[in-house]
Amino acid sequence: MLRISNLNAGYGNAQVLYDIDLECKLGEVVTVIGPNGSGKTTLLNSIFGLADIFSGTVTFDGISLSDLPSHKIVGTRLGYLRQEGNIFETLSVEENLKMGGVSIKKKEVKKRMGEVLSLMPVVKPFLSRKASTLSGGERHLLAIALVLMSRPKLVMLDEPTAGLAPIAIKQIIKTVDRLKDEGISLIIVEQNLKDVLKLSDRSYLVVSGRNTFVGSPDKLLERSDLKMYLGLD
Amino acid sequence: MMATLVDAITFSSFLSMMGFGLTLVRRTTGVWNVAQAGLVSIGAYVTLTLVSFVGGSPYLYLPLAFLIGAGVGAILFLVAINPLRKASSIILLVATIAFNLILISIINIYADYLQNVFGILSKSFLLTRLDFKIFGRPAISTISVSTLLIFTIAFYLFLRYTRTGLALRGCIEQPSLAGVVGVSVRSLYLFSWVLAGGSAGLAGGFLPLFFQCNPNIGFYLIALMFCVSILGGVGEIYGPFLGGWLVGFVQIFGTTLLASTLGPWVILYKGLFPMVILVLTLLFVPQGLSGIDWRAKVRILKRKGG
Repeated sequence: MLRISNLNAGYGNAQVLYDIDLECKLGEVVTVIGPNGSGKTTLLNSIFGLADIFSGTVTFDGISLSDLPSHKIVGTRLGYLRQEGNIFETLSVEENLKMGGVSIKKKEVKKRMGEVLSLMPVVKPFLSRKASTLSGGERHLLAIALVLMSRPKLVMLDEPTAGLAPIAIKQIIKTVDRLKDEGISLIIVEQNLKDVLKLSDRSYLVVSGRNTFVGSPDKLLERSDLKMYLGLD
Repeated sequence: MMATLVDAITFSSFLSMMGFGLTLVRRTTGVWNVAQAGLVSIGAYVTLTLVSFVGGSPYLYLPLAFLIGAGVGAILFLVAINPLRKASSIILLVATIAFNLILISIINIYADYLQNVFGILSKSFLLTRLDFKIFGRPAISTISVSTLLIFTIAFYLFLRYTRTGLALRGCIEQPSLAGVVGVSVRSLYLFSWVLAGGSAGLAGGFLPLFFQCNPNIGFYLIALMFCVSILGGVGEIYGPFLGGWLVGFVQIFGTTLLASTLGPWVILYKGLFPMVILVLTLLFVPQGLSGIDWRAKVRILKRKGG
């Protein structure tokens, strides 16, 4: 489904990623972990055309994404939930969802909105509210719903629980679990490993822009030498 | 008094149309477009050319003034702004100044050509003789206000109820997120420059029915356009409609009032009134009138009162 080979990427002249390989198959949940500043977000940005790719390949369902602008990448049914700036604050929640559906046919938007709301019923009560009035947890849920509007086969989530209260984190993890059940592939960059690793099929550890570990979460947890990066006891 | 009021309404309508384009491209692409001046002049010359060669009412050619202004706006975006999209706002401002000088030069050459080859008085012209009357007043007042009203309502409906309008609102707030959800941000930027050019061309098309026009007419008005945009507030797309009316009324009524009190010499300095307002705005409400949280102000006043 998504395959990254020998990716070297960064911003302008500054290289952040070095020879990264990553794969996410249909229905898989892949976690990307690593310390702050290790290049996790840059990895997602380079997949989505928001960072400069110096060399290497990024393909999704056999389509090369390297030369596609972001708005066309959405059309390949790849979704991206950014850590910050992931909702339109001046728009209502309903308008946010409509914005999420700009890449699908106009007549299908209403139907898709119904599907997304049945998948995430927690969003329904605040449809008419302005997005800026939502709480942190509600904003994250809206951001996920917004991404789902484009019918993605694979969603990349950049720290979806960052800065949230424990109860909101639970709700997000529950939602992510539902997405997995729906057969949507997920690539999750997350600091909150305890909950996310349970859902994960494979993990990648990125340190200083390089892959330092690839394997199952169980194997990752067995590696005592990597614990300093995981924050787990 | 009535004549002054009608003049103020007419002038305010022009200013609102011109300021709208300036605010729109500032909101979308972050550029202060000085070439808005040249686009206004183009509108005036579209009207003059068609009235001279085809004849009929100048109002018939307003749609064409809009379309030509829109076309030049598109060229400006594609040739000067889009290639420099990663440049600083100062560089982009300089690019629009350069483009404006080119436009004004071309219009001057064109005016010379009209005058020398066809004998049309094109270096300084006024078409008020071609206007008709509505309720005993020149039609320009009614038609310019109606056009502004239709334009404003149409733009509101477009933003509120169309998919492209929604995308434009999203794009204004967060262009990078708009791209991530599938909006072609570049196309919307182009669209906003087309609309801005069109509104400038339209306003310019009206001008010969109200002002003595020449190739630099847009340039004479550019300071007022900036005043309208800043006073109205660039943070809100409807700001220039508010700004346009305030600047127009202050200029016309302020000049009339002071000229009758201090003498007609004041008329020479009429451009100072809106500039004083601009300075006061920048000092005390830099976000412009539409950027003020009026509800919060009322709450504070009530609290003080209670």
